[in-house]
Amino acid sequence: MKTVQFDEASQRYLDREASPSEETAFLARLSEAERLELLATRTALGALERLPRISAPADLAARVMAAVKPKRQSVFTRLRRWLESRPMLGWEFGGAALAASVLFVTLAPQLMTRPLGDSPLEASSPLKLVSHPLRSNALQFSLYAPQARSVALIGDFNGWGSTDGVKLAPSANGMWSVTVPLPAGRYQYAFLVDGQRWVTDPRAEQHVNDGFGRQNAVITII
Amino acid sequence: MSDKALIDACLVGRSEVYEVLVLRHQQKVFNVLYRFLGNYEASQDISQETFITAYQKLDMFGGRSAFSTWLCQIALNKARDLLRSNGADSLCEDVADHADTLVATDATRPDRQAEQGQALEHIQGILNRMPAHYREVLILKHLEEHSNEEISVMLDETVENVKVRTFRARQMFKQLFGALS
Repeated sequence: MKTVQFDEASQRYLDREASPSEETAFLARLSEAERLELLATRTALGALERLPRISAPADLAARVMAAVKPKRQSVFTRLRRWLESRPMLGWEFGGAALAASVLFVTLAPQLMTRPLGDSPLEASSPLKLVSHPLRSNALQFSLYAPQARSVALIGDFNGWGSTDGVKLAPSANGMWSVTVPLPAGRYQYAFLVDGQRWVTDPRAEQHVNDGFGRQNAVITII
Repeated sequence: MSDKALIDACLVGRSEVYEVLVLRHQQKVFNVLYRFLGNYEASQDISQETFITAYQKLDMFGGRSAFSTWLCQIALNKARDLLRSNGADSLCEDVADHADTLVATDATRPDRQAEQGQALEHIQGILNRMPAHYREVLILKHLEEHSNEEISVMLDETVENVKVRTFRARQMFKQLFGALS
């Protein structure tokens, strides 16, 4: 077997870290034999990179969750939460505890500063936590549907539209959105476009089959 | 919602939130394991064990790396333990047993299906022939597209060692690919 010495530049080439001009300059410095050797390596690695992604077993999450039990809070965590509930102890304690704990209050400012969507052309914006005048746990649901005449939010939290239809408001860029206050929990939902077309949220964390051949989006609110 | 926020929720007793983390990362963990072990059932079991162990040790996750990096580190440690206990370097099986699961084939072109299946079997076969310490860097580098720094965390190696190991693994893969093509 021919021994080939480690060479940083050739590894950068195989890592595809070099720019096209750097690649050209690098290949020009090599002998014909070295160039062929490197191209053969790249061809082989290209074949490796074309291996398909494999779907994880459908029941993997369910099997994991069957073995997962709620964690008991440590003495430290309980102390921290107790301090949080005692504002008279001052900002030093309360502020540190607040920063370390998972409260919507700490997440809301970050999320509120983000724009509605990364691009007006995206199919849908992910759910966002937004401010709400009455309750703090409000979520913004959005769908890009420039041709739609109406869009409603339906889900198990409103009897799939039977008890309380939630209409999304259109904006000039084709986005429809609505803000809904929801308590913590796990919810299934979908959008109903023009009163008849069932559209799932393509960027939801999770989807489940509704048993009728349609996919519902799932959101977990903590 | 970020991984960190979900982990914090788990740590204060909201165990049901962990399902979101599992769903978010299960494809990656399972793919790394399948390509490393070459065995569907073993990859399934180790994936499950990985997520359960990660949950049990969640308070030890410091956030210095991405959660997915930490999961892959746990998964590969478990996979190496399994190989050691079996006294083998891979647990390769007949890829054709799971061909319908492993490759998106064109049902209208049986000839194309056969070609795809053979190519897949060929590449996975080369991986299975390689020593585990070379196989893992190739998978993390070329299938999962991790940086040398991320791989060094997963394999508990220096970045320099990762580079050298990747170089040697590439050489071996190219030679096996050329010899078997």
